[in-house]
Amino acid sequence: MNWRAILINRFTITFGAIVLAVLLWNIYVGFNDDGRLTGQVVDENGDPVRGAQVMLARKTVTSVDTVAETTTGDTGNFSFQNHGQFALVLSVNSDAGSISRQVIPLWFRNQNVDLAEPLVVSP
Amino acid sequence: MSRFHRIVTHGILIIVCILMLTPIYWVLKTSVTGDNLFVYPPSIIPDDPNLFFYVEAWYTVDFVRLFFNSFAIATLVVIANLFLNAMAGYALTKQFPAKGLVLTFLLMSMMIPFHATIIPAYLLTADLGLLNSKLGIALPTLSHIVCILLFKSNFEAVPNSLIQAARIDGLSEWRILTRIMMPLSKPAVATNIILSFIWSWNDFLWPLIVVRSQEQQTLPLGLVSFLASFEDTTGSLYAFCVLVVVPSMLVFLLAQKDFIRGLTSGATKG
Repeated sequence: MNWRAILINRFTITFGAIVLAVLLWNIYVGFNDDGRLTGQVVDENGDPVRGAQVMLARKTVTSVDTVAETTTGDTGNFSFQNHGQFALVLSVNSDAGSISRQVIPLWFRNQNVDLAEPLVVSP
Repeated sequence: MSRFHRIVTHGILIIVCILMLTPIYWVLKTSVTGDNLFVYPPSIIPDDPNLFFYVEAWYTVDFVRLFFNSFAIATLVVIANLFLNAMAGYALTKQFPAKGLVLTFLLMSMMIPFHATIIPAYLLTADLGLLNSKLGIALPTLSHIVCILLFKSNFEAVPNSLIQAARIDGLSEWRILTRIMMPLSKPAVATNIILSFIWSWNDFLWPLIVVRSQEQQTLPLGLVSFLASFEDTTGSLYAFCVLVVVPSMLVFLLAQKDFIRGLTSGATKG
């Protein structure tokens, strides 16, 4: 049997590449699907907002339901664990202002996310 | 052909290609932008493209289950088609009583639309206890007459002396078929694989009638339920369409050379 011809043909290479890509992707997902979400809430001046209520909602194609809530700490930081979503819908309520349903698309369900940009509330 | 004629011919071909590829481009563009189809003026270049709609489509329907159902049925259909069509095609290259009648019967069967035979096919499948099963979905497509005739024309192109030599060497008819005829008919095999795969993959009407539970749904059925449930998700819907179409396009693109050779080889026989 000509193993070289079997290994080096367009079918083996194409489907092999697909299988390899799926495998690598699943390994990456496996190491990054704890559902950790961290971020910071700041006001328009860039100062951290303490005690802001951050709500995480589930986005479906027909509705948006709140699944978890938390409150920011002294540095304006907040975190959720095991959020279980493939799209984050965040709302913030505070004395300094609010944010209404900011959607952050993810690559896979329960992806770990550290928000690079703080959530800026406005009155 | 003069230079002018070549330019005109290629110009027309390019226009036809653009016309045929525009809907495909539009589906791809909508799948990455989610633009409303009726926006005027329409934008040709995608504005802020992203793959989120694919993620949404993947999780909104149970894509993995639908994919594996379709894949399992298509694999079953492809294997059965290769096995049954090759045997039938080889048999039709032999001389036997009422061969002309059999060929006439096969050609006549091709002229009856599938829709006309749905009720007897359904009753037969029900009697066999195969409703709502993968085998039941695959049953009517386990053999295609077009593919039988394709094998027949390809097998007839194989020199008879080769078969005689194999027979003198002591090969049985089964081994002649599998060791000599099939390897010499690779274009026909590729054509069989492509046609049976695409027909099975895209089949909608028969699975719609036979399938009763979500667990047995195939991708086309998933697409329809997606469309029926969520009308406003243009981006996700088109992303789902692309995910449904990609496997059959991939199979076709990989085997298109042999596919075209397989379809034309019978025409140059003799």
